[in-house]
Amino acid sequence: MISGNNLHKRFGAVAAVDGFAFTAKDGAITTLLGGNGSGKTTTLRMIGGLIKPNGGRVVIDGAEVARQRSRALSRLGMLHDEFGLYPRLTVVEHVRFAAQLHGMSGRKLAAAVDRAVDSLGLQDIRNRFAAGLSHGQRMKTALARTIVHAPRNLVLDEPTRGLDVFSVRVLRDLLKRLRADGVCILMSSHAMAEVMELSDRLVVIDRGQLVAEGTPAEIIAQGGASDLESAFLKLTGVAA
Amino acid sequence: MNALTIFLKEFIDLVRDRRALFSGLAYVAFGPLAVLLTVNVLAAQTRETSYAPIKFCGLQSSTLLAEQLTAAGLVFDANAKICVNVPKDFEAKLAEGKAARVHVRGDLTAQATTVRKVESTLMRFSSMLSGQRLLARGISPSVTGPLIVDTQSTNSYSRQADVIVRVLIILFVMAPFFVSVAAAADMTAGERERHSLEPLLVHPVSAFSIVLGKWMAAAALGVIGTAACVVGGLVLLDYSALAELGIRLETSFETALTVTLYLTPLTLLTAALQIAIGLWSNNFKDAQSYLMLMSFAPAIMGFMLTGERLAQAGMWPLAWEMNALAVPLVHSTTPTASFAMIAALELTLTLAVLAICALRLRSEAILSRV
Repeated sequence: MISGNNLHKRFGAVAAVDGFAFTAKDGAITTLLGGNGSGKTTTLRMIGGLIKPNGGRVVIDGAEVARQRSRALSRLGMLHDEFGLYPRLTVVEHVRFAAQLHGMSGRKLAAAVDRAVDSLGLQDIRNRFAAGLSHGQRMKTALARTIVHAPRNLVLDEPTRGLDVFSVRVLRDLLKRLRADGVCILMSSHAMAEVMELSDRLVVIDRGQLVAEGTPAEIIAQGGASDLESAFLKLTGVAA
Repeated sequence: MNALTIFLKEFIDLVRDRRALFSGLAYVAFGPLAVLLTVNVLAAQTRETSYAPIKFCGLQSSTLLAEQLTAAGLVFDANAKICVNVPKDFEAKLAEGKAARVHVRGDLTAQATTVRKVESTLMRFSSMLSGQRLLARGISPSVTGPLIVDTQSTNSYSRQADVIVRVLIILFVMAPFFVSVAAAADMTAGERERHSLEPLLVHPVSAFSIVLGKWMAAAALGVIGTAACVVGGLVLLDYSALAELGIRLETSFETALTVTLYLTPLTLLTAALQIAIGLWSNNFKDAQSYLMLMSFAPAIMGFMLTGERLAQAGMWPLAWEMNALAVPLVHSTTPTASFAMIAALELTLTLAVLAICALRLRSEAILSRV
């Protein structure tokens, strides 16, 4: 489970996150919904320990990220919007590198790497360099790297952006499998169709503050609209 | 353990990076080659066969003088710019036991060596003639030459040789700086630029381990490249004309090993500084520019600090290497601080720089978008 409590983050005079709180439960997909500059990415970075909140705290499975960084991160897998692959490493080398950084070695390492590669259908390209991969293949490689240590918590920053329909299907199926296994999944997205299809709970953020929280149906009801997009626009004050 | 994982990943990445490898190997290959060419060109200029041609000008020539000048290694050519002007009555005056004036004309700035050679040959000939004249009159030539000056150099090399040795040492000291420029830039600023830093930082790995792993990769390339530069340089110079310039350079394997050992602490410090500069640079190109500028530090120091000033600065990194490398290479007797002392200082500085790099890696500023 991932939770953020009364989070504050300022960049100079700008309050990127201003008293935001959320909870992402195990065995559920929670989507962070917000426009550009709403504080989504800042929140995800605080979860990953990349930036420190000025106030409040992020807790992953009982470990506070700021104080027990190593313990918290060992239970977390994080997929970034820019996948951040190394052009001169192969698919399997990326996955192995991540597993090693999580302390795996020997047979456990080999088994975990094979499992991650297989789960994303990367067997055929496992020895190809990242420089020659398509956008979808790069996403799958980055995702395999993210789940190789079987994290109990998964954070994905706009995972479907720029993906073709086949890659979206692979991602969707994987997330459903992980949810069924009891993994806590927190993602940010702009794609309303994906949000409706996958999300168990939505957390709407605007100007760094919590605007609404609930199931997709509850959010639509809170927004007094007939669909999620209209409800989101109303809740964030974009539509009258 | 994590540092080792990062080191291995960086090293594999580095070995596959043609740009970084070429950049490093270019210095290793072309640096010693440039010194070899310089040495050989200088040696060629000082050889006797490199005297400019001469000719007789005016109306008269002299078989007697031509024989003397040719025997001294000078060559006659009708298009020569240095000319020896012999008067009409030259040989008649010599036969009468009188003095004959000979003019030598030439560009003393461009052909000074040849002009001096002509002068010395003529003076030697003149001295021989005066000796013969004195003997014919029953007087020993030693009467007019009470002093016989015999000069022997106790210095193993000249001022020119000193400059060449200095250039050679600078070449070796610059190697750690140049060899890993592209590699260090790629694994720091390049990492930011391709957005792979954030995924790396969300692993349960300490910032110091990440910095250590990257530094180990840059340092390994630095040590390998520097050793290759030293060994290659000494092997090449073994076939050079250094001896003709009066330089007795030690080129044994033991010397190469000593020079590499002396440079190793500096190589480790240089790699740490390169990682630091890379982490503070906005992108790969910025990092490469700053690192290239830093690479010229040994050259600037090498030519600015000489003699007494260099010896006084010998307690500090770079200056110590400039002084100390002359010991195994040319058996210099300049006193230097002990290797253990400078190694301890450089390793302490290395750890301090790496600790600062780790702080930088944990700062939020490094994650600002590039």
